[in-house]
Amino acid sequence: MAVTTPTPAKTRSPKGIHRAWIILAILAVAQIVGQSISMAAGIMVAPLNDADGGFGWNMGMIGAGLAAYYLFGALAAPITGMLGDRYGARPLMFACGILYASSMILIGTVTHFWQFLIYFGVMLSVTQSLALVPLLASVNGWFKHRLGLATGLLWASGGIGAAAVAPAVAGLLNAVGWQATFTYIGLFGGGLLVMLTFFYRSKPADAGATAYGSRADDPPEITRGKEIDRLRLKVFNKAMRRTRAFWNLPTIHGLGCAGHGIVLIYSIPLAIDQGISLTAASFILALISIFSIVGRFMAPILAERMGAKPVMMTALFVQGLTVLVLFWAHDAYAFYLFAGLFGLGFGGEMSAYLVVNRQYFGTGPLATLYGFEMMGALSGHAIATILGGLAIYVTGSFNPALVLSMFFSFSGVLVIYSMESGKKVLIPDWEEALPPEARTTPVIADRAVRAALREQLDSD
Amino acid sequence: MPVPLTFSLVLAVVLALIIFFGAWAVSADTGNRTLAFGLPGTTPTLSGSNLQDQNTGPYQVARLGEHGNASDTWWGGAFLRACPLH
Repeated sequence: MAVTTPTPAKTRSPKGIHRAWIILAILAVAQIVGQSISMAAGIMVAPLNDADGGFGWNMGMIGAGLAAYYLFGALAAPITGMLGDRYGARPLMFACGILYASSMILIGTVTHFWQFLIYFGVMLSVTQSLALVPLLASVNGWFKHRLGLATGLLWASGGIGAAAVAPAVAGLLNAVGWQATFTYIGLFGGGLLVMLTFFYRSKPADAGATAYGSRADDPPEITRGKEIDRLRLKVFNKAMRRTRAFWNLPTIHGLGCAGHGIVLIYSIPLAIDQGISLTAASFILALISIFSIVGRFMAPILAERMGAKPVMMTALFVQGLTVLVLFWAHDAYAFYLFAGLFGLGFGGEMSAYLVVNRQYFGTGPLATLYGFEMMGALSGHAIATILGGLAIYVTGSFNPALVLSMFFSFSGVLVIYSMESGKKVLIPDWEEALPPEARTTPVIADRAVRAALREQLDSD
Repeated sequence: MPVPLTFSLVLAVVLALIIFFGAWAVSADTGNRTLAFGLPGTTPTLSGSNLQDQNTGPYQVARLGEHGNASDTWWGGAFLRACPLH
């Protein structure tokens, strides 16, 4: 096995900006590109469904494509997370760029439904999984302090970018048509990701730097041999799987996403059913997106300061409670009021997971866990699509779907309530299962514990 | 460590809900109602009065009833067998 060697500490780049912020900017661009996939999905529906257009597919077929997208995304998420922990996020960013470009260009050439299933349902869902799981999780290693702020900025930029990408894609579709639109998007987004790979590093040690917030007396970053890294990853994941939090966190993300997934899918049809025009109803989703940015940004910051449990419970409670407005909403303003309130909870539901992961499991390799959480999230969206649709279909009313949405959100609140306190790491002794040569040395371990205690005191 | 109770409970409830609503959808007399597997922008018609209009709006909507009785299909039969309430 390779000998562990500490790398020299370095806090700032020559221009005075810590390298971690540059990495954060790169990841923000990757988030915008990654989240544009789901925005493109919504915009695709109309041209695919247009009876006078080139496709003329019915909603059942398009729904099957979306279901495949969610299911393959859910399956791919833990795998891409494991790959991120094993090989680092940098090669996956490169792969993501290549896959993004090729799948978008191929979508532009679609003429048959099976092609759509493969290019969109499989290839693009894997691409999005690569963009969202290992890349997002890699921010954990770059920020020793202010992880909440970094995560909030990432999620907020993703939300702003996604909101800006939607009209751009719609405008391109009108201006240059289906094939040219997806070719341009693929080449631009994929090219951008590939180019950014050259400036991106998976972890501080790869750049000969230290994480943001490191101090001179902090334990140094350690570069280990691949064999030791794999063994440590295996033992760390095994220790995580023994905790309740490992199972409950994906469950909570699934329940939260099922709760807001029903609303995101059915709020516009509900508004139209109440006599509101399609144009006016479309503002509901726009307002949800805009107000969600506040929640996306604030939740990780508050979670870092106050502890993740109360923040996540509040966000999910707000998400569930505000659905009540929809039972009595008849006018556009009532739907807009709902959108603003719901957006705050919805945004906060999704963005605090990286912070809670650190509070429960420390600074270990957490992309695998985040992959399982994303698996829960995408499964939640698939469940929302299936159950919400069935409930409306069999009852002829939107109300049962809204009740299901509230049920999922409030169940999520209860599961969070049942979880352990995030004030101490759940697996502090996981290294005891490692052979001595793979453990952190006692001196470094002691310094790591002191640094963690100091960090805890700072945040209090 | 065994799988926590909360995880198992949530999984069981979600599966039960899918089976219940799936079996209901197969057994319910909803032949004249458009399928509401909606997406942003779709307009499921709850009055069940727009069969002849289903391809004339901005969004076409597929119906279960177009391809025969759902309870005769393998998935329809599976839902009905799995649900003790239908």
